[in-house]
Amino acid sequence: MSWLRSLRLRPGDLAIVALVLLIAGGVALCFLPRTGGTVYAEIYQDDVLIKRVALADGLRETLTIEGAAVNEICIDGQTVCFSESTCPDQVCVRSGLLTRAGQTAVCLPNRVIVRLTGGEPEVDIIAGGAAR
Amino acid sequence: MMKMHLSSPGKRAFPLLALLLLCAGCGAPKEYEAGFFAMDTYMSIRTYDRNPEEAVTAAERAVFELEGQISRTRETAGVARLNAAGGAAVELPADTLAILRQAKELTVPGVFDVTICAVGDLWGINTEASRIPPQDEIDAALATVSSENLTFPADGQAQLLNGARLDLGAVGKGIAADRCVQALVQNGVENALVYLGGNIYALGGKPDGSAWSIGIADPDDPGSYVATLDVRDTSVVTTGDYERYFIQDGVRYHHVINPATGAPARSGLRSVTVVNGSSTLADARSTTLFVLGLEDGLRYCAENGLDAVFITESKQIYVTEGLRGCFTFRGEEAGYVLAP
Repeated sequence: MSWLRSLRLRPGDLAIVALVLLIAGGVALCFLPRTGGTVYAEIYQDDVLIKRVALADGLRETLTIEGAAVNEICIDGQTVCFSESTCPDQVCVRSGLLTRAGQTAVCLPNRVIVRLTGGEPEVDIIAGGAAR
Repeated sequence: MMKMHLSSPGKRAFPLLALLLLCAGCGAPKEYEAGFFAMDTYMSIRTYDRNPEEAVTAAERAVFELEGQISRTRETAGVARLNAAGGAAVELPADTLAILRQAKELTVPGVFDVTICAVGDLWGINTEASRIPPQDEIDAALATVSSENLTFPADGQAQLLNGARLDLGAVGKGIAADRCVQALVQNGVENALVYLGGNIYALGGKPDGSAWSIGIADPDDPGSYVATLDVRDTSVVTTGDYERYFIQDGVRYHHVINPATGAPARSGLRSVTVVNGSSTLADARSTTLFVLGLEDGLRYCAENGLDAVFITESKQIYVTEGLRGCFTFRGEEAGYVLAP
């Protein structure tokens, strides 16, 4: 620690150290992922985000998305689902209710992705089910 | 080397500025995720490694290149050309031939066979033409099913005999996952979660050093999971009866066709999840084990050193010994039971 002694720190320097640490902490916080709390529903078509909404009790909204098929997406409180679809495979509708951050349902024919983000995902991904 | 001459206040400020830069760089690793549609499914690659863009682009390119070889519907693809050749020998690129040889080697007679195409098309699962085909049509299509009908008559050539047609759907995404991971690693990414329409490859681990946590889907509610696997550097692939199917007269007709019967496999299973370092093998064997059923499947695992999780129609979950250390049962609330 001889380099530290060689600096011959004065009381004012300590204030600068504290200020530097405060600023660094603030910068670091900006880069931390959001944890806990709000879960968001993100809806994409052809890789374009067409809606992002914070899920909350009492929230109720239905979206109709047209393309190669017509999807009806129902946001109900803390859940989202493909409630109806004209696509032939119905994989999106069969994905059921998305209730937790990290879940995704996809309508391939319509190239629509519904994803829940934020919160604290319990798993990183689900094999054989909805993707993240 | 250039020398810097700092004044006394400058000397004092220099370590402090360095500290600022160091601390600011200590933020949590940034997530990078790229999603794309390929091989008739949605795929994504997620990583927290630094500067992954080039590697992820290379991985995506690997998938699209593979699709260009093994697609049944793209006229220029090797598999499509072979299927359309009417039994004639077809010149194919070396890589396509290597894929075909690999697919043929994965054959388990009467259980797993990539020449199942004609039968699968009859059922038309997940298309507007889905139906229960008459038995005579099934029998005629079954007559074409045998990997022995896939031959390599000369260097650089493949040939389909006796009306056989190929469908690499049961191994394609596994091959894609392996190639994705190869591209990622070659381009400097050591940790990533690769999701190719249900085929997962957990490369490395998470930024905090822990393993990736993979949920195993509840067949009755695929958005939820009944167990988790904490894994690294391995592939996790599930085959189930719950995504691609149609129901007629109360019976579920799904996409996993038994080559012995020409009908959707009725093995008493809802899903099989295979964990293996090779996603190609995991993909093929998840289908194999699903067709075999629980008892024969467990025996196959024991004889071939394979690890898997079986979910039965009666909501029992069976786990092979090799997975006990990374498996956590989470299906109690949904009515599942973990077999001892």
